[in-house]
Amino acid sequence: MFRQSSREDVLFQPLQSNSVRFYAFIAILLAVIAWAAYAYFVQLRDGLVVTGLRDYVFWGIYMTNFVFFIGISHAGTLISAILRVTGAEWRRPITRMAEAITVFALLIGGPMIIIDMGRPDRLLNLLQSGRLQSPILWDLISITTYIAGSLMYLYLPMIPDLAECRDRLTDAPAWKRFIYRTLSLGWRGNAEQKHRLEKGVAIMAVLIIPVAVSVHTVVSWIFGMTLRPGWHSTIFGPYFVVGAIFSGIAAILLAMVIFRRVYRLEAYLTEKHFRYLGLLLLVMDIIYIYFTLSEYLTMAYGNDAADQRVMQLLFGGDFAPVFWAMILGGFVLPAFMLALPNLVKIPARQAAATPLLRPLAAMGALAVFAVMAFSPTGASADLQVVALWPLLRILSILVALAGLLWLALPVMRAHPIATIVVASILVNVAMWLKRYIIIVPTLYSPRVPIQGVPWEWAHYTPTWVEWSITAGAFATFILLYTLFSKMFPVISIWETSERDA
Amino acid sequence: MRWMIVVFLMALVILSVQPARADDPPGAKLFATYCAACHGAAGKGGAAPAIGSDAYLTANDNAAIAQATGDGVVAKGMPAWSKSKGGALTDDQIADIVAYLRALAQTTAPGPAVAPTPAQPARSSANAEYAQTRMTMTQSPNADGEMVLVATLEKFDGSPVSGMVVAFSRATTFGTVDLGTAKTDSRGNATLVMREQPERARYITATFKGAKTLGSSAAMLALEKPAVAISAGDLNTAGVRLSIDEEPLLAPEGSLITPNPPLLPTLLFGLVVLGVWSTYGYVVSQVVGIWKSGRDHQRENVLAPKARSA
Ligand code: HEC
Repeated sequence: MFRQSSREDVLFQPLQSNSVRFYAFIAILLAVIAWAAYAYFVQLRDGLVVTGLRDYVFWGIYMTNFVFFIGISHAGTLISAILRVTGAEWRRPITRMAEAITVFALLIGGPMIIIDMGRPDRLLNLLQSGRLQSPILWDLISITTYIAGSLMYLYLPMIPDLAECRDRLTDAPAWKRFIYRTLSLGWRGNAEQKHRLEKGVAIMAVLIIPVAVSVHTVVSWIFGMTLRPGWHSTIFGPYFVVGAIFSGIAAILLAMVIFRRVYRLEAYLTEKHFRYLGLLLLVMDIIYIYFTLSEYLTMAYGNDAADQRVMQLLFGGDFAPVFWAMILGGFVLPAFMLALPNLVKIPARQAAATPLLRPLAAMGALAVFAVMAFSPTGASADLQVVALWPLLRILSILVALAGLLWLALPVMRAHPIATIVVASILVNVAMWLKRYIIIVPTLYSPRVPIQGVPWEWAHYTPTWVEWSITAGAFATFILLYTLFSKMFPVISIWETSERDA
Repeated sequence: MRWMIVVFLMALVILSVQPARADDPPGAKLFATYCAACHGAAGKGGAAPAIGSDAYLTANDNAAIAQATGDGVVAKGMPAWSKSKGGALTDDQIADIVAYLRALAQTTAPGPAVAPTPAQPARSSANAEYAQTRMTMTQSPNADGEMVLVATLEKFDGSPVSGMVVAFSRATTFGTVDLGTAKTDSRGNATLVMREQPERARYITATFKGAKTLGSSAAMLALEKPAVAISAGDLNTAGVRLSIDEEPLLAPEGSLITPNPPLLPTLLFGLVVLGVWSTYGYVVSQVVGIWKSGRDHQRENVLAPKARSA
């Protein structure tokens, strides 16, 4: 087979040696996971009362994590499959990472539901007494289908690389060689094998797209099929799917930049890959902003009392800080960060001519932003008596943001990859918040409120148990992903060299 | 929103503590500040024993109360208040509080006292005499076919209590639904017209919270169905109103949420799932093919290594 260039050595490097830093990193992750395990033990021992979940808010950050991870999982499949089906050549070094994100995100996201249960021992009741009409059962079916499919979709294109590992890494420990030997299925790269592999990959690439779309649609239906304010919306299916692809792309970008740095993959992951994915991210961002606007405008126009309560909580109430941080910092700002460097050209001369003015102006803009965004008065709805105040506030925040962007432009142009990565971090945080904001405010506003309940039954603050388990979930995800990248080449070797050949 | 919650909480605290008025003795203010949160307003009892009750005050003399206050019962949640024990109050202040408690009972010292009659326990506060109340409730349909609820509030001696607020509510699985309030008229009657006809959870409660000199009382009844059923034809436009259907919970037969899933959508759903999984099956068969081919390849190599290297 193709046994050539030293270019590929860099791909095998991480499989062959482990640095001290690697062990330290794994140790930290394991510590976080152990702590989360203790938190879960506390939850099992004492029940859900150790969480912030109560009669009103029965879903909290566990469900947020669930939707978030299922969303991230769209990274792989959708993006890699769509790019494969459309024959985008630049996808080749990215697909493996993306597909691995899918599998591991699903493995973390799915169990969040069980963690959310007060009596996980009753899980089987979901199957025994599940009703086919319930979106929860649809969810179970579609997620299992998706896990199976994405495992196959990850595995199939890996077979030739596994054979390569088997042939090349002959001095690896016995257990590793056993894994390579078993999983590579006696791959010799003969005509029949190649034919079958290509057929399998082609089928999976097409099939996995509707399956992935269905998964996030069904997740949205868990909310949409209820009559609750803020959830009962026909747009929820596509809204969730777009949101999932959006956060999925952001997740891939993060994985890419980390692997590029740690495993020194600059030869494979070039600026071009970041720019292309950045553009995709921008497109999804804009669609997502459009959906968000459409969703809230429709809700606001309806004037339904319960809807109004949810909107009030979001726009001016308890959740306003999170909501506006998400909209401005997580959707609007990344859109500009991704678009501006491509659109606006500043002559280098002008940038250089104002060395003192720029930082000063930037600090001014920051100050305006801070004062307007965080001054406490504007946050409460009752101050709208001063009718101009909210308008002024929003305007000055926008102007300050625009000014900051403008000033940051030369920096963004000088560091395109960093800019895209910062944007995708913002997007990922915002999409986590978004899921929180979808779930909790609605639960604050039931159509038939329980009257006279204690305050804390109707309000939600996550407890240390929930935060610990959440941290543990992220740590487990990173751990699995890291170990995967230590076992298998994170970049598809045969696909990248097939192109070069 | 947050400010509303804060105001609400503050209101709760203030209401539960009932701050003393300026002309009250100094002990009243201290009691309201430090003790009422647990022992209730005027020591009527709450989370902690009713130390303002006649029973308690009759059984304990001032020194004992002061001692108990100063030392506390820390293990059981009663703080030690005396400065010497690390508390907030001086001995004088504790004495003020004890004096205030004593005034509540109007008994100067423990000793044989006239046992209060259970129906009308003696109350300290001034001129008006304290009275227990009782409530009865009846229902009857009006001309529109609505049920009219009448709660009658009277003292134990049978005299009607007028001008008092009676609250009506209905207990449901999801909690209590407030139906509204009404004031009692000169005959002690508070009247409420049922605007809705609940299908389930038909128990209606009327509650009188009590007043300064009146004990609380309540009555409950099961709502009857009006003899005259409301039908659209009977309504003249003046009385037209929107209401929830009689049986809102039952979905029409064959719709997606009925207990038995309708056949066609189920079949379609099953077909789609089956289709996806059988395609998976086909792909797996390709994988098996790859494996078989690899095995054959190996066997050939073993059988004819010469031929291959040649
Ligand atoms: C944090 C709640 C709390 C506060 C505040 C509080 N108490 Fe108590 N108090 C208790 C509890 C609980 C008990 C019952 C202890 C027990 O079971 O022995 C108690 C018991 C008492 C007793 C003894 C009753 C008996 O059975 O002998 C006295 C007297 C008393 N409190 C006076 C006061 C006074 C006066 C104040 C205000 C300065 C006060 N308490 C404030 C909780 C409180």
